[in-house]
Amino acid sequence: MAVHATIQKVSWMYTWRIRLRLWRRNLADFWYELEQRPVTLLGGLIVLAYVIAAIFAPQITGRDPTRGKLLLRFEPPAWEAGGSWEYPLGTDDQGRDLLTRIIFGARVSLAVGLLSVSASVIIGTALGALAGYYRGWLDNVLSRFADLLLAFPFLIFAIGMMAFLGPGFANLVLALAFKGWVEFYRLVRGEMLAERTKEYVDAARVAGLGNIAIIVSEILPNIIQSVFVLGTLRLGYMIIMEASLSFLGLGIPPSIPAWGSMVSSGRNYLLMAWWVSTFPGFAILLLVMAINLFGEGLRDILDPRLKIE
Amino acid sequence: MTSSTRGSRLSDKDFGMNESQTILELKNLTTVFPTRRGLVRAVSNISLKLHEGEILGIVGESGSGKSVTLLSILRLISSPGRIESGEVLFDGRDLCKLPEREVRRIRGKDIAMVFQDPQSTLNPAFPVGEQIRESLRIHNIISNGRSWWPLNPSRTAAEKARVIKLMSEVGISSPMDRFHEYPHQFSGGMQQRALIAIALAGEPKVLLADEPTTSLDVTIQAQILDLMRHINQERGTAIVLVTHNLDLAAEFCQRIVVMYAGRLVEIGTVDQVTESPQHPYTRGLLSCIPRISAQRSRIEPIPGNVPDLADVPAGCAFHPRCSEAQTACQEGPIPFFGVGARHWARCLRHANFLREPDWTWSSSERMRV
Repeated sequence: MAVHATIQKVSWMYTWRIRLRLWRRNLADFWYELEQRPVTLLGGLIVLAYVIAAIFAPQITGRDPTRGKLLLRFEPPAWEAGGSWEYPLGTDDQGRDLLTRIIFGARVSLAVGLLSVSASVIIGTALGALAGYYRGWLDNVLSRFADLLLAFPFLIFAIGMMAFLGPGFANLVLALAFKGWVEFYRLVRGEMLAERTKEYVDAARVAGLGNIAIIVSEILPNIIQSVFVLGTLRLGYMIIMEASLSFLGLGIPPSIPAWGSMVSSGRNYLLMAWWVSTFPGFAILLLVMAINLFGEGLRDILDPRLKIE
Repeated sequence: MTSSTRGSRLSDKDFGMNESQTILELKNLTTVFPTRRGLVRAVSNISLKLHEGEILGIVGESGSGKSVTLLSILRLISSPGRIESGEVLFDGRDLCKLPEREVRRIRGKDIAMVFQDPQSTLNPAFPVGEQIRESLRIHNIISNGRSWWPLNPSRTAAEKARVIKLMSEVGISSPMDRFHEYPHQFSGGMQQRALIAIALAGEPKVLLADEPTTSLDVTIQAQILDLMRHINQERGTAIVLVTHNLDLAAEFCQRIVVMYAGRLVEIGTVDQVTESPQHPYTRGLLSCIPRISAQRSRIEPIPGNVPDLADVPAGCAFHPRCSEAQTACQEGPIPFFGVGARHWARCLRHANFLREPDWTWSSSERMRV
């Protein structure tokens, strides 16, 4: 009995050792692919820097992003005439440090982007999988609704939603996810239609699996990579949407520093203090570009079928 | 072709038994697919009996309804196709009338299936060992502790031990290491072995094999057939082999049924069907097999094409292609005629001796095969 237990324990350890080795090998493969693509790597590093900045924002700057000194309005960036390293990127119309506000703004942008994309992925994948697998009336209803949503331009739709819901963090995520899921729905539904006719699905049914088990544990693992890649690419788009809505005053309330509203507030002083609008805009540009570079590289690594030569 | 010959299948337990038990029975099974051109009867009015421990071959051209017959047995005909009438009796229960939950319990456990193309039948996203383990888990083969809890270490280890045993049983070398490999790292023959291991995980009483060797080369084909014969002998699993290759069926099976246009046209033991085929279609199939020793240099194809299943000719479905067709062949359903002991053909040339197949199959007869 004791021997038996020992053998089982050893076998379990053996399993985990091989599993860890495999994971490490996969990670090594991924790293190797990444090293072949310096641009992707650069994009990834920039995104990583943004994420770290967002998480450790208070520790990095040590300043309050919402409080300024009105005596120090429109301080220019350090390298301009009259600037000082006290405020490396200058100050805005209320004398608040621009760098601090940009770093804190990363929190909002990343949070809204990640949350709305996650919500879109979950809703879109679930509905797309059901529609693509079962087809029939469910597919018809969902697909027509998706077509309806696709007929609206994203920004117009989001403006309408926000005007209806009112500004606010949760409302913004809701509005973005309400339309964002359609992309994932269409992707997953299409992949599902292709996968459900494959023989391994028949084999799973022959083995006695039920429909839901087949969807979740057999088919989804095969298409989740495409979803992941699309999610990365949509993240940048969602961040732009958040910034656009904040720019229009429909997104994040002005009490929270957000890049869109910062660009908007600096717009009035563009001729006398160009930096107030320019630096938040540049922050958006850099982040979205880095996300897209990283996402496209990720697509090439994870989903070779979609590769554009 | 294979190392073991047909005669070596005898064992002591074959003696002294007089009647083999029927394990699976199809009664007047009809499966239809509604199409734009009308109702396609892919399987029409088929009756079959499978005995315990028997190897039965279903032979026919593509489109003759062989695979649909297998899928109908497991009730896996996807909509809009449906089983129109008939019964599939397994263990005294009609699978056509059982609720889906019950059928699911039988699939993969009591009746397992091996498919044609192992490459696409294995899920590319999981290691092969995990897929074999899953088939153990679905039917709760190893119930050790909390059955639903996947991270139960002793259960996981026991399952893994069973998987390794299964893998070595089907001839996968160094199973401990291959457990974690993905399907694309396996060769075609190894993939088919893995699929057989998956099928065996539930310790099925019946193994349905849908052209299991078609996508493999001849050497591997022989190995896989040897493996399946070994399983048949060791475990007593009854096997239904569907193939278009009459030669292969002759090598492997004990009894052969020949299908044409969704109907059975000839039933008999291997020797009867291959050595004295009584239906012109079976004869045509036999003359299509190239032989090394043959005098003639050309093989003779059967003239014409398989009929459109939406518009099957009346009477004998084969009559437009048959060189011996009479006017009577064109009307009325043709019954089975007994053409020898345990040998029936659906051909009017034998109309002198009308007899419905009774399918009794004693073990002494099985020995003779």
